[in-house]
Amino acid sequence: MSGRIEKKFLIHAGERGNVIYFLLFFLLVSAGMAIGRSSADALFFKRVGIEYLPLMYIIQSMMLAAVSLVYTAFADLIPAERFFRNLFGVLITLILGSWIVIHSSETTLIYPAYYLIYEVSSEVLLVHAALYMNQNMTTLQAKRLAPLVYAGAQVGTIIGGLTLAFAAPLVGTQNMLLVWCGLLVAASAALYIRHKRHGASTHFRKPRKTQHLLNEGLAQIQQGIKFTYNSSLLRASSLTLFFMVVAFYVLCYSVNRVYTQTFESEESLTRFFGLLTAVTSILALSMQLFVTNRAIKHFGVRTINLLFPWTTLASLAALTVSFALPAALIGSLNKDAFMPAFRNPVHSMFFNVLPHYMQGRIRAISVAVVLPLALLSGGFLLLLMQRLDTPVYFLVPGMLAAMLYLFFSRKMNDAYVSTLIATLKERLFLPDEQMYADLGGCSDEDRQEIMRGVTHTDTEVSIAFSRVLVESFPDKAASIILQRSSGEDNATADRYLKLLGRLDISEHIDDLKQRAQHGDAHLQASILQLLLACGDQGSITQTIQLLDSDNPRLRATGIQAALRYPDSAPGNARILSVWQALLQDDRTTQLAALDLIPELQHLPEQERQTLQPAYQSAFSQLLGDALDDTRVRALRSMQSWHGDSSDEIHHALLHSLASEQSGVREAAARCLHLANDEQRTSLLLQAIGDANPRVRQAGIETMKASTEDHKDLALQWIMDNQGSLRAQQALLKPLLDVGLPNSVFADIARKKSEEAQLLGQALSIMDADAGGLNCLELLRITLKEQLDQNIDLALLALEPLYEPGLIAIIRAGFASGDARHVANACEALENLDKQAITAGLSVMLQKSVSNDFSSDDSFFRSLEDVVNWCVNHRNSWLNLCGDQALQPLNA
Amino acid sequence: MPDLFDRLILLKKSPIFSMVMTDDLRVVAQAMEKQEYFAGDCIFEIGDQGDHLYIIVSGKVGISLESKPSDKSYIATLSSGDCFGEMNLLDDLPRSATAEVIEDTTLLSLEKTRLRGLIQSYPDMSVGMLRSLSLRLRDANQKLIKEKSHA
Repeated sequence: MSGRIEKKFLIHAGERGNVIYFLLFFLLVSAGMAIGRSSADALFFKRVGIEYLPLMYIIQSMMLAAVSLVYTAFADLIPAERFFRNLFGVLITLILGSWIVIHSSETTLIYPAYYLIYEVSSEVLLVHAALYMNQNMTTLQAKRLAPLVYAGAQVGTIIGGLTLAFAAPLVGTQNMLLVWCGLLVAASAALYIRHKRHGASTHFRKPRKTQHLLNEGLAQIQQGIKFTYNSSLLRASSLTLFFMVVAFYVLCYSVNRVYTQTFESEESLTRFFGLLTAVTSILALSMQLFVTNRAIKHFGVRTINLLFPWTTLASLAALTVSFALPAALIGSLNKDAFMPAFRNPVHSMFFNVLPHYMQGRIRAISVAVVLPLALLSGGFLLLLMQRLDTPVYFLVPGMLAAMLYLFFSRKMNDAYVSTLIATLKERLFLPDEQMYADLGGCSDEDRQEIMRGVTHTDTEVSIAFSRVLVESFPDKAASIILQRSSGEDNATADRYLKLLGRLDISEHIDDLKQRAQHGDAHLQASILQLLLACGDQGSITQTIQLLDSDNPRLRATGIQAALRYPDSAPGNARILSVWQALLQDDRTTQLAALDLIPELQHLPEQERQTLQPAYQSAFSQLLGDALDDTRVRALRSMQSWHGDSSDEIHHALLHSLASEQSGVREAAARCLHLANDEQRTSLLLQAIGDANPRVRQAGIETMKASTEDHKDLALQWIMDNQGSLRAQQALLKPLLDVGLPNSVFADIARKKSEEAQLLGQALSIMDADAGGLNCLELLRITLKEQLDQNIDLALLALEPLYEPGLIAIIRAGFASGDARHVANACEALENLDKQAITAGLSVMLQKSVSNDFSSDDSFFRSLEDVVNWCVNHRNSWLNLCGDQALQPLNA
Repeated sequence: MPDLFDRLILLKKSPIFSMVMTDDLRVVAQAMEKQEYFAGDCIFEIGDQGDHLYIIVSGKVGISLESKPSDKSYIATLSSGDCFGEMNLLDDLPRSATAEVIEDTTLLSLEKTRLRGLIQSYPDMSVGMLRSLSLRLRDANQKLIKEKSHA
C-alpha cells in the first residue's frame, strides 16, 4: 500500500523519511501562518481600517529591507535549520508580546504592528523555506518533491484556516495569536529532533566569513546585485518578481476591500477569512497533489512558469469588469491557490540551477531589494489611486504590472537553460577554451610556453614540447633541440635528434658529425641518416662504407645511403646480399632490417620480390618474440609494409591485438591492412573498441587509411550496431566535424535512444523477475552499462545539432557521478529545443540515474524474452552474457 | 565459463574494479589466479615484500598490525568480495599489515606487474583504485575519530 502511494507521488526509494519530515514541518509552520494572516488581516481591517493598507505596504517595504539585511548576513553562513530556529524564537517572542499588549492596552497601534510582524515574517519564511529545501534536495528531487512538500504546507493552511473559522468566534480573534505561538514551538521541536538525528543540511556549504556581520550582510547584498547584473536569469527573475509583487498587492488590496465592505463585523470577517483560507488551500492542495507534479513533468518547468502570470492578469481583468464578491473570490483563488500550487514550486526550481554559493544571496536580494521596492511602488500606487472614486484607477496599473510580469517570465524561461549549462560548466571546471589547444600557434606567448617546456629538466616533458617546437617554429627548432640534447646520454640524445628529420640542419652539419664520432653506434646511425637526408657528400661516402660494418644498424644505414645515392654505391647485388644477411641472422639484425622497409621503393620490382619471403619470415619471428618491445618495433615497421602478408603474420596480429600491453595492441592496430580480408572488419572494430584510447585512435587511423569511403562505412557500422558501443563512439567522434548533415546525427541519436529504451524495458523485466542468480545479475549489470553507453552515444550524436559545447557539458554532468550535476544535466536536456529527439533520451537518462526502470508498456513479455533478445543481439558481449543466462533458465 | 562469470560479478562488486566495464573485466578476471588457504594460514606478514593483490571469493581473512595476530588483534575482518593487498602494488613498500586466514578461504590473486599493465590498458581501473583507497582512508578516519571520542 505504502509502495503504491510512493509511486503515485513520485517518491523514490530512501526518500520517505525526508518527505514525511518536510511535510510535517511545513504543515506546522503553514498552519501557524494561516492563523497569523487571517487574524492579522481581520484585526487590522476592522480595528484600524482598510484605507490604511497601502500605508502598511509602504512601511512593510522598509521593514522588509532592514530585516533582509540581517537575513543576507546569515543566509549562507549558517545551515538553514539553524536560521529557522532563531527566526522562530524571535517570532514567538513578538507574537506573545503582541498578545499581551492587545489584552493590557487600549492602543490601536498594536494592530498595524501585528500586521507587519505577520507580513515581514511570512516573506522571510517563504524565502527561507525554499533555501531549506534546496539545502536538503537535488534539482531532480526538488522537481519531484517540492509540489508534494508544498502540499503539506497547504494541509497546514487548511487546518489553520478551519481552526480559525471555528475557534475565533468562540475565543476571540485576538486569542488565536496563542495558537500560532504553539504551532511555532512545535515546528521548532520538529526541526531540532530532525537535525539532531541527521546532522546539518546535506548540501549546506559554509563560505569563509571575512568581515563584520553588518558589513558581511551589505557585502552579500552587493554580491547579490553583482550576480544579478551578470546573470540573465537573475535579471529576468528580479524584474519578474518586481512586477509580480506590484500586481499581487494590487490584487490583495482589491479583494480585501471587497471583503471588508461585504462583511460588516470582525467575527464574520474572521470566520470568512478562515473558511476562505481553508477552501483555497484545499484547492491548492488538490492541485499540488494531483496536477502540479504531472503538469511540470508533462509541460516542463518553463511552460508552468507562465501559468500564474496569466491567471493573475485574468483575475485583475475580472475585478476591473466587476468589483464585487464573485470577482474577488476569483482573485483569492488565484493568489491563494494557483500561486502556491504552481508559482512557488516552479520559482524554487529556477533557483536550483544557480550555483549554491549564489543562492542564499540571490534570495536575500529578492527579499532585501526587489520585494521592498515593489511593495513601495505598489503601496504608493494604491495610496494615490484609492482616493479616486472607482477601483479601475488602481486595477488598470495592476493589470499593466501583470502584463510586464508575464513578459519577464518569458525572459526567465529563455535564460533557464543557458543558466543551467553555465552552472554545470562552472561546477565541472570545464574551461572556456582548451588549454594549449593552440599551442601550435606562433605568438610570443606560445613560444615562451613552448620554450619553458623544452628546457624542462624532465626528459619526457622536454621531448613532448620539442615536438611542438618543430611544428610551430621549424626555423628555430634545430638549434634549440641540438643545444638541449647536448650533454644527454646517447639514448636520450637519439630521441631528440630523431625530431630533426624534417628540419633544415645544413647549418649544424659539423656539430652533428662531431656528435656522431663520440656517440655509440645507434646514435651514429641516427646522425648519419640525418646527414644523408641533408645530402652532405662527405657523409654519403662515409655511410656507404658502413656496408661492411659489424654493427647491423650501421650496415642498414649503409644500405640506405647506397640506395639513395647509387652513383657512389656498389651495385645492387652487393646491397641485396647485405640486406638478405640482415634479415636472416638474428633478432638484432632483423630489427635493423625493419628500418629499411621504406627504402624498398628504391629497388626494382624483381629485386624487391626477392626480399619478400625473408621479410615475412623475419616478421613472424619478431612478432613471436618474448619481449614486448621487440614486437612493438616489428609492428611499427610493418605499418609501412605493403608487400604480401601471410597466415603467420595474420595470426601474429590476432595474438598482438589480444595482448595485455596497450603499446602492442596499438602497434598491431596500425598493421591491420595485413590481416586477412575476411577478418579485417572485425579486427578493426575490435581495435576501435579497445579500452585504451591510443589503440582506438590507431584503429580509426588505419580505417581511414585503408578505406576510401570510411565515413560511410563508419555510419553504416553505427546504425547497424556493429562492434562494441565504445567502438561506435570512437567511430562517431571524428564524424562530428566533417560537415555531415544534421539529419544524419539526428537519426543516430534517435536510433540509440530507441536502443536505450529497449534496454530500459529489458531491465524493468529483470528487476521484476531475476531472482538472485549470478548469471542474471551479470546480465543486468551489462544491460545497465550498455544503456548508459547508448545514452552517451545518443548525446554525442546530438552535439552538432546544438551550439558548440552545450551537449558536451551535459555529458560531463551525466558522467560526473555527482547527484546535483547529474540532476542539472537531466534538467538541461529536458529543456533543450528539438524535444522530438531529446524527449525519449531525457526520460531514459532520468531512469538510469534513479536506477528505476519500471515501465507500463514493454517490448518484452518475460525474462526469457529478454534473455533471448540478448542472445540474438549484435553486441558480442551481450550475446555471451545472454548465453550464460540462458543455461539456468533452460535447466 | 561459469567460473569466469562468477569472477566477473566478484570483481564488479569490489571498489577497485567497479568502474571498469564488464566487457573489459574479462581480461582482468582471466589474469587472476585462484589460491586456496586453510584456517590459520598466513597469506603475508607485515614487512614482507608483497607483489600480489587479493580478492576473497569465499572464507574470512583477518588483517592485523601484529606479525603473529591473535583473534582480538584484527583491525579488520574481510569476507567474500573484499579486496586487500592493493596498496603495496602502488607504492612498492613492504606490507603494512599481516593477513591471516580465519576460515578456509579461496582467493583470487593478481600479480603486480600484470596489474600495472592492466591499468595502462584500462585507465578506468585507476579511478577504481583511487576510489578504493579513498574509502579505505575514510574508514580509517572514522575509526580514529571513534577512538578519540572513547578516549
